[in-house]
Amino acid sequence: MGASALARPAADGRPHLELAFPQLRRPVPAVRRGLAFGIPSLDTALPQGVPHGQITALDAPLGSGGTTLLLALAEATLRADEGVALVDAERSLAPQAAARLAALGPFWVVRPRAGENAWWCADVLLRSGAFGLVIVDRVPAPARRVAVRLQRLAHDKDTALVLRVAQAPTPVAQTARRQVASGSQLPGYGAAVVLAVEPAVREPGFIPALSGWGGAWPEARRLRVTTLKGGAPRAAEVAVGIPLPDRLRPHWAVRDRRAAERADRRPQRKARR
Amino acid sequence: MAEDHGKPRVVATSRQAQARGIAAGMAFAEAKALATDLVALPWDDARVARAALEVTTALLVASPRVSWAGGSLPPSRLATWRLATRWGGTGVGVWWVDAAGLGSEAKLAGKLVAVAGGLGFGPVRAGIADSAVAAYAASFGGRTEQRSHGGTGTPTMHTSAVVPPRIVPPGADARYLAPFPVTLLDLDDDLAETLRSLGLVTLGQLAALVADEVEARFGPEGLAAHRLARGLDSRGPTTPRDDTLPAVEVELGGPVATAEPLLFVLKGALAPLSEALHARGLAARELALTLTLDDGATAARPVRPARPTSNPDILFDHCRLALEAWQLPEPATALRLSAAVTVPASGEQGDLLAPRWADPAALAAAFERIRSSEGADAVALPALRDGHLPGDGGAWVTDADARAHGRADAPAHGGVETAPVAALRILPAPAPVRVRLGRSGLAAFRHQDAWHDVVDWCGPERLASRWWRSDATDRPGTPAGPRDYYTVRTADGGLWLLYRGPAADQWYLEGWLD
Repeated sequence: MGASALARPAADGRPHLELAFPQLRRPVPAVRRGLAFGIPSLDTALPQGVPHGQITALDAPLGSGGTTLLLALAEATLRADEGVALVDAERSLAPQAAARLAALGPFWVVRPRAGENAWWCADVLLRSGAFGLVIVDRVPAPARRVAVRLQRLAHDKDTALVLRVAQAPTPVAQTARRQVASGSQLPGYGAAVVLAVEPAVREPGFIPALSGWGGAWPEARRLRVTTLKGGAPRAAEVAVGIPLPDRLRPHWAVRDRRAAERADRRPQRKARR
Repeated sequence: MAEDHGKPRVVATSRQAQARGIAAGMAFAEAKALATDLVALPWDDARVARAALEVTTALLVASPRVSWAGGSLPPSRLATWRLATRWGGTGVGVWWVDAAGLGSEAKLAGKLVAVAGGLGFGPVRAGIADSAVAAYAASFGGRTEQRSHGGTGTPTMHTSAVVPPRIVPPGADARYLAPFPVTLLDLDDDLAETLRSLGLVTLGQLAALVADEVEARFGPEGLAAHRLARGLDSRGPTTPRDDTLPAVEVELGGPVATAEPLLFVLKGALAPLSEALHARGLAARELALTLTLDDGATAARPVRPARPTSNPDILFDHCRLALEAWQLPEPATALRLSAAVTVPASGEQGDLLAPRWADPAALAAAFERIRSSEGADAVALPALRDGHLPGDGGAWVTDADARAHGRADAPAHGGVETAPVAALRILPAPAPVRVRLGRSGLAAFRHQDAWHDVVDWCGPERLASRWWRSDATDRPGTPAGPRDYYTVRTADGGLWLLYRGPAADQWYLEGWLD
């Protein structure tokens, strides 16, 4: 059968080729899902995931759980066989928090000397084209030209770029954050997706002891993640465990009465005598 | 003859002495009893070097890359000599021979044994493996297996007693080494004794340990031994020095005392050097940067990129780092840049079906740029450490090999299937904070010009700082002595890590859970 025969319409008016391969009739563009967090509730709220080739902004104040979510995203990405680079602009990430990721695949942490240098580091990492995900954590807000430059690089290299801008926990910043949360003012650095993170509820009672590695108190904390941009506004609650202490303790509420503390009182006793 | 703990011992013997029962490792008195007309000669380095050169030259017939390992057991290497004695050796030298791409390895080994044996220096042993340490072990004995071609790494041959050559299959070095005793390695006596007292008798037991822990406990020597036990050995045959390698010389036109003019000249000099390397299909593993000083003296410094490269930008970054850290006694008047060690430039084929293939050269170049600008520790991998303080639970390592020793079996999310685990962030140095105490203890603390109301807290947990070390305060500005740690929850839901110093009114913020 020649090409002309294929192109000739059949009895019902459709070409033979179309009859032979019905799936050719309506070519539907494949929807490429972005990166997943590996957290079911959050992945449900963000069905398209963290998009490749775009900037995703994480609006997470100090201590709100943003690092936890970023590391979860990094872990899920590594498990999907993509490389991850994390720029720790503040140089405050404790290595034990991310140690498990190093064994999963190409995971690198870049710790620049100054926070502003994080943008240059991100530029170099994006240009290498070796990473599916580049995270810039706790960095000063970028100038517009910086954001545009990084957005273009991320697009060229098809890399997901996640930014978490450092915010001082001052009342002024909190006010601005409320404005952002209400949708009146969104971060202006070209992010396709903006997520806001905050502790969900004020949990009564439970306070963990010193954290360590090797396990976790399950659901010791709940975070509320809201989609501010990049889809329908949705919110998800994420349960976060708190690392168990390395040392055995009878109970977290039991006061430490070891010898070191008693030793402090000896001079006082002597003075009384 | 050589002195071992003050006693003369036989190190090497002639064939006539061997025929009369004298063997290496024997006490001189014992040897003298076997042969009263025994002639003892002191160890002669120059004579050994001449003999080594003779052997090296002869072995070049079979392979273009032959290196004398220098293991002819001078008195400073008596540990190896004792090892050789234990394993029935005669204390002869060790040579590394490149066996890659030369056809049948068995035939090559036979040829080398025949060549070395024909020189009359004594019995010759041979072993073939991916790494030098495994080839060395194979030369002593063990399994003889057929080696199939196509394995990874550069096969290395070790010739040293006339025993059929042993061939370790490609990629099986670590498995082959496992049953061998730790004494196979040329370890320091103290380290060897420590390993023995801990029950680490075989290389397999040593290799099974986590590298980070080995390094923390035994230091760099222990880590080096651990790498060897795992069949990771950087030793091997080297390429002879090539004086025809590209070099660039520039007269500066006058004394130059600052780095900027030198960097300008250097950038110009690197371009033709890089082109010359590229034209010959070479990549520089090491550059020699030589400066002629105003007083006529010369100062040289090697420049080694992380990966062999001919990229002028990467080479410039390394040269710049070398220059910036160089304190010259006199201004420089001339600069010479030459490729000291080169390797054939190689490429790597990407995987078409891989989600994302990273060109190792591009990645290395990116990291080199970051390191050259932000410091050598700017690109790092997180690793776990043992320590009792919150900040001691991990460390940043810059060695990529650390990834292989990571705890890959660490469960996702710290053991909880569905919930991630809160990440700890620690300040580079504990920040002093003001604390307000209420009726129920901690009421608030002030950090970054903001008061944080405390709604709940847990503690204290008293921990001693590193009192056993000279740097007991671990971070500048913090007092030594016990610390009372508190985990506090603030009104905004944050979890913070505070501690109280030895004085009651000294409070510090160590970090927070984020």
